[in-house]
Amino acid sequence: MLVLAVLALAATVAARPPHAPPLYDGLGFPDEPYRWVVPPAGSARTPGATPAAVTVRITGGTTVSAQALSAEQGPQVAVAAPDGAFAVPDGTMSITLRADPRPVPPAVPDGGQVVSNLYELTATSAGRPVQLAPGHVLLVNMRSESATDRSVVICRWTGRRWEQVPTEQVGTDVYASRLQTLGAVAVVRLDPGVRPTVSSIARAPGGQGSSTAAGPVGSTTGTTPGSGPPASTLVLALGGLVVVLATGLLIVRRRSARTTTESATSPGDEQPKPA
Amino acid sequence: MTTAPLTGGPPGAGSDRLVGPDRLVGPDRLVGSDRLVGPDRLVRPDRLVRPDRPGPTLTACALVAGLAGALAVRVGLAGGAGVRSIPAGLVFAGILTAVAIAARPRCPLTAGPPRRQLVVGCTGALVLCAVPLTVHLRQPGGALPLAELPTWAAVVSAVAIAEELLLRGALWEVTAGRWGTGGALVVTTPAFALLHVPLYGWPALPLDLAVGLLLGGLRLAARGWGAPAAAHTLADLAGWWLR
Repeated sequence: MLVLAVLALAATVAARPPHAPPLYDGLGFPDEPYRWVVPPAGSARTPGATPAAVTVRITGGTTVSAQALSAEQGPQVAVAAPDGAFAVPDGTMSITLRADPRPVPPAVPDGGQVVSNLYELTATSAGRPVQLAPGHVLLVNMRSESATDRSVVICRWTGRRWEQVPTEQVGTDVYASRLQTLGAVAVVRLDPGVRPTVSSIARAPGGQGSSTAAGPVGSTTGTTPGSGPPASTLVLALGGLVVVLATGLLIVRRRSARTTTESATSPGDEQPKPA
Repeated sequence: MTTAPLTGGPPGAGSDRLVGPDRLVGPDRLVGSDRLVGPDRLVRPDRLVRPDRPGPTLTACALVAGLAGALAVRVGLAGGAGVRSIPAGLVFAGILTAVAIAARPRCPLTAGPPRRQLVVGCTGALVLCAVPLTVHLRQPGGALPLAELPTWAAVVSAVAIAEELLLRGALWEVTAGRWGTGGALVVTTPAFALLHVPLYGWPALPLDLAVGLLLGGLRLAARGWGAPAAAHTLADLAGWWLR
């Protein structure tokens, strides 16, 4: 049985995604230091930044949803394409969606500074570029170099200037945006007192993210950071109730069993004499 | 008074008459070697319920419910931080420990013979780390900030030990007493695997089933929950470097 368990373990560990937790157990790891393509002066040396890449399948002439994350602990970029996101050229069997890290351009954004790598988002099929289908968007999550309480916005690099896009904070240092076109994007931290020139992504009343709002890519908990307390509060309350009931049941049964033992062995009882 | 030879006679003929070598006639009647007939109860050995142990099925259900409740509390407390939340992890460990202790009638949960637990546990940890090590050597991850290691390690250890205390300590003993070691393995292995799904997603299920099976095997080999606790803790700690 131990041999079987070892073989099963080897197979599953070998097949897991790269840089996944070795045992999918314990506490999540802290983010590793940000990996720059071109490290700023004075920053520590780190391994090179990694791309995010995925092959988008095509079924019945329509692309299937797909997502990709870069390999850092605390991925620095993640992209997700919903069903039908791409305009499929004739004869296309699959599309390669990539987010490749690039050096930050020397041009400084108005009222801010770039706090991430520039990530170039591309979709290709047999080396030819593929565009997003009309009315469809690409969801991107990007991690900044560090957490901040200043305003942060994702900006698109046009080749000559920076353009802000509606952005939502979805983690301590992770920001999301829905892009209507592919291209190069980076995270920009605005100077103190400077506000974004674009509105943030709309949120439904009650603090819950709307169905069209950006959110974290690849969330496994089913909860959206910042989506408001109600769902997590409900889970917390139910869990607490179950714990109290279960523990109470165990304690009550233990006490009743002890009472039964004591009454069965009471010193007042006399053993019946044989006839 | 004449001394009459001992002869057989009707039951109840006299309290001082031994009718046969294996029969004592009286209100407490020993009928056979495996059956004790008391004044109000006929008890067969395969259904003997010791008065100091609660019904095992209900206890097992309560333990599993406690585990599920603790997990819900952890998920609810963690919110967006998810598996990274240290306070949620600590509360989770505390609840598991309290539920495990509540299930024990008298004695505190003992981990088993220390030396055996350590040897088997370390061996199990090596097995758990072997494949991640080979993957890591091919594709190493970046270094994590060392300043966060002590806190992270303390919480990881608390969570791992609490999980084993409940799963392969209390739950194992209760289910093994009722359904044997096979039954204990069948209950604790999927419980361990499903425990990780809300935090890591369904892709974690196959791996954690395999890990649960291995930890159950360590429990069998070491005859105590200390060995799986040691293996579980050491393997989790090694993950800091084996990403």
